[in-house]
Amino acid sequence: MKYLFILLLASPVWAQEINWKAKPDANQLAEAGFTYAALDAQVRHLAKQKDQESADLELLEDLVLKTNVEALEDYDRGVLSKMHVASVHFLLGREAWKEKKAKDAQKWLVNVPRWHRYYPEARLLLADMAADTGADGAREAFEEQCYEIAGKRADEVNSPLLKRYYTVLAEDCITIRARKLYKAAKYPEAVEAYARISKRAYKWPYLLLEKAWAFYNVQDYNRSLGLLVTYKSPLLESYFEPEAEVLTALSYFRLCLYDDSLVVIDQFYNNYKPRTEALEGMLNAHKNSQTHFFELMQLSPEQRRQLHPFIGQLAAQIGQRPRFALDQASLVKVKAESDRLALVLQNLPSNHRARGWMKDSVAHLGAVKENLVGRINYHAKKDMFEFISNVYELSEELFKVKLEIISRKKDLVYGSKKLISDRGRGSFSQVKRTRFEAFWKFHGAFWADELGDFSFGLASNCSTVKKEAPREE
Amino acid sequence: MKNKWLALLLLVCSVAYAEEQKTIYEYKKYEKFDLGDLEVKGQLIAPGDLSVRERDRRRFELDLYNRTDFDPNIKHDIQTLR
Repeated sequence: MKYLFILLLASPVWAQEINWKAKPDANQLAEAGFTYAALDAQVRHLAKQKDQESADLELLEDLVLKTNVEALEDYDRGVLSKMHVASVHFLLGREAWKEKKAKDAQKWLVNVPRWHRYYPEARLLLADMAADTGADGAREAFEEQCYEIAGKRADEVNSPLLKRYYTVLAEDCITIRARKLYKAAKYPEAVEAYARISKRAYKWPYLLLEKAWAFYNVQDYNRSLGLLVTYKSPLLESYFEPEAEVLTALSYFRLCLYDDSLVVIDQFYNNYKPRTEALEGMLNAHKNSQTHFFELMQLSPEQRRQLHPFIGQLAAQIGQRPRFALDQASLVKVKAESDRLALVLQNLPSNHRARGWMKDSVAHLGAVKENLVGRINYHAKKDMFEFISNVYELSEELFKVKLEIISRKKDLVYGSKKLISDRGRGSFSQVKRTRFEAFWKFHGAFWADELGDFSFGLASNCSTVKKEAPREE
Repeated sequence: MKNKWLALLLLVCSVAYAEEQKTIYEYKKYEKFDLGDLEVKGQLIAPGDLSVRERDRRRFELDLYNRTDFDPNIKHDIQTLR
């Protein structure tokens, strides 16, 4: 099937019987459907020009949009900075943003025009930088522009890949507001901002944890616990957040329900620690491999689960990200183009004048392919190792909570006191709610429309009473 | 010259005497105190029973984990876009 696919792709080239030049220009390559080879030819051509013609720049822009801006990442930035094309400006701006050179990043990113594909993403980066400088007005304007345009484009485009990219982008634009409000310790406003994000959003399961932190910081521990219990629903089985366990333990701790907190801590140690250590051992064996993590990402969910329970879940999370989908799609395109070109080369007479550049081009496409594989490998590896280090850090934090609980329990014993815990576990009266919210009791079923709206009804157990001395018989 | 010989003789004699006389320190091996028999003379100005002012023990709370921002998540989200 695979070979049939390659032959089908190659057939129009054969049908055209192109009169290949000794060194074809980007136009000819683009017309023949060799987009990556054309992009390379066009960048090399423009790098030699002192006065770049607008037709050449337009072709470059067209090719970048077809191949994605990442195809330009390996070229010299000094050369690229002379090419006045919005896609190139976006790439340069994003690189400067990564290096935390805000001024440079702004200089390039403001050049990306409203009609351009990368406009919403450029506005997102500008919003992030504006937030860092405390310019709230500018941040809000950038966020709104990003949200509006990305949302509009998500409705307009037909490609599922682009649709997902724009949808996630729109969600990011709206999330940045909630996160910046959280950072400014405006927790009630942050909760409202999180509430604006649809439950159908790709990011929504991840944002539950952030919203739970906002409730925790306004001392609404019941809401915090309610939001975190959503991760136990079967629908969110693949979304596992170790930090959610820490926040659960902390919320119980703040309610002085020490035994509940200790149960969560023990569960964390029993569940995450041994599995993480096993995962670390497995991953460390391949940490220097340039392809192992890429190959892991190519396995079916069933195959991955058999390797390690966490690998299946982590790979599922990585696979949902637009970056992975875009890289995979680019890899398929480059591979198809490289195979086509190799086929043309194979069938050319041995003394044909085009053999030289074709060999070079096949080698270039091979390098692009290798880079993409390396990129997917690197990001999967980074995410998996970050997960492991995160579990270890959180494990330390939980240990501190455990120590604090032991210390408080000891104080109670020394003070001949006990917690006022001889009463019911929770009540409806403990649930804080707005006048727009109505509540029903939970009967063990996670209804989809109720996800993310759960609340516990636990009363604080922090009051103490004097312990009665044992009666003498 | 005669004086010098006399002084030298005196010096030799004093060194020889010092070597002969070794000091021996002896400590009291046993002493008995009858605490019940001790009497303290003075005026009583405080209540007879011992009292300590009750105060809370100083508690040092551990700096427990709290999220101050989601900046790493913002960076991560942007980097995973493409």
